Amino acid sequence: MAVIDEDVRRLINQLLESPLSWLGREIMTEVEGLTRLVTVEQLTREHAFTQLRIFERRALEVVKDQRAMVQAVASSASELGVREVKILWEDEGVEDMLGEARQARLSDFERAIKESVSAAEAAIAGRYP
Amino acid sequence: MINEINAAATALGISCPSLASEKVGKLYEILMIFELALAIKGMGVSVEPRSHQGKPTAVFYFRGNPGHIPKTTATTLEPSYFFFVRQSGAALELHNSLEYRGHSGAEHEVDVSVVPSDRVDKVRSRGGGPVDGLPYALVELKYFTKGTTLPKNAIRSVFACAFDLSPSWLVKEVELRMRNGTVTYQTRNYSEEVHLVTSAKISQSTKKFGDFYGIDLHEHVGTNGDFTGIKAVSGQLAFELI
Repeated sequence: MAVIDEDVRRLINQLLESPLSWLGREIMTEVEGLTRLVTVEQLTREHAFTQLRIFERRALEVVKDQRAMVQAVASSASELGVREVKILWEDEGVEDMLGEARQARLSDFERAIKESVSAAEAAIAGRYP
Repeated sequence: MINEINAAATALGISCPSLASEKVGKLYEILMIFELALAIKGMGVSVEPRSHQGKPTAVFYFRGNPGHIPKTTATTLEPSYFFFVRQSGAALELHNSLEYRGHSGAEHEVDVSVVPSDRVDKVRSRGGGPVDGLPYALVELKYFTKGTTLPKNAIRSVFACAFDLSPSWLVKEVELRMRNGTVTYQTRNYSEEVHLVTSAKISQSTKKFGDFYGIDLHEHVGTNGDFTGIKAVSGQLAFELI
């Protein structure tokens, strides 16, 4: 039975401890899924890179979708006479959907994805020169 | 090996349905509500955004989490809704993430729902809470990243929810064979529309299930900045509601 490579697991654990812990969880899901099909020896740096790139592409697609949805909501809201759109979260309070803060958060999110994936790639490259 | 990895990567799309899904799922819900309100307005019906106190509002608050109809006297921030009157004269309300109570006593969140105002007013008059029974329109939304197939559990949960809210929804009609003929009773209230809208692909098996039980399915809706699918579903729903 295949077991996840310990070095790769350690690198992912670093991500799990970061503020972007969900990123680490998603990568872990993908890498653990792969180990069902490949052996420890076969789970090399290329496989880890492949998963990171798949992950990065999906994450950036989500950001792109969010941007497009926010724009569409802004346009519809205006036609319906709604000036401000807010979300009432139980834990996080009130979120302004159309404000500049949200756009800035999306940009931060996009940058964090790219930086985290680059950092993970660099770390894996260091472990598997 | 490359083929195996490619196959694995594709298969893994199912185990990775979305990233930061709660937030983007909520956006998907909000977009659907606004597009539906716009589609209703586009049919010449006046659609009014209202505060929980029933007053017109230009600041619209969505539920971030599943919730009840609030007290109209509440002074805290509470969710808004859209109000409109259908051609028959019946007043309806459009809500997001509202909880409905089924026959079992369990509460079920409905992502987007349209419900008669008089039913909601009864809840308001007793100080708020869940709405009993099935709404006129129940829309379940599932946002997934591109290339994902909708898990079959999604339609199973919609089915179970609709059944608990209104068991008669399941049965289209009942035929009684009498001595000298048959009598047919319509049991299903045709105002009760159940829809499952997703950005993912829908499998043939899920489609069969939906077709048989009358759950309208809409796949590949609203990704990559293309919202024509959401507008199409909204248009269909608005037509059914008006």
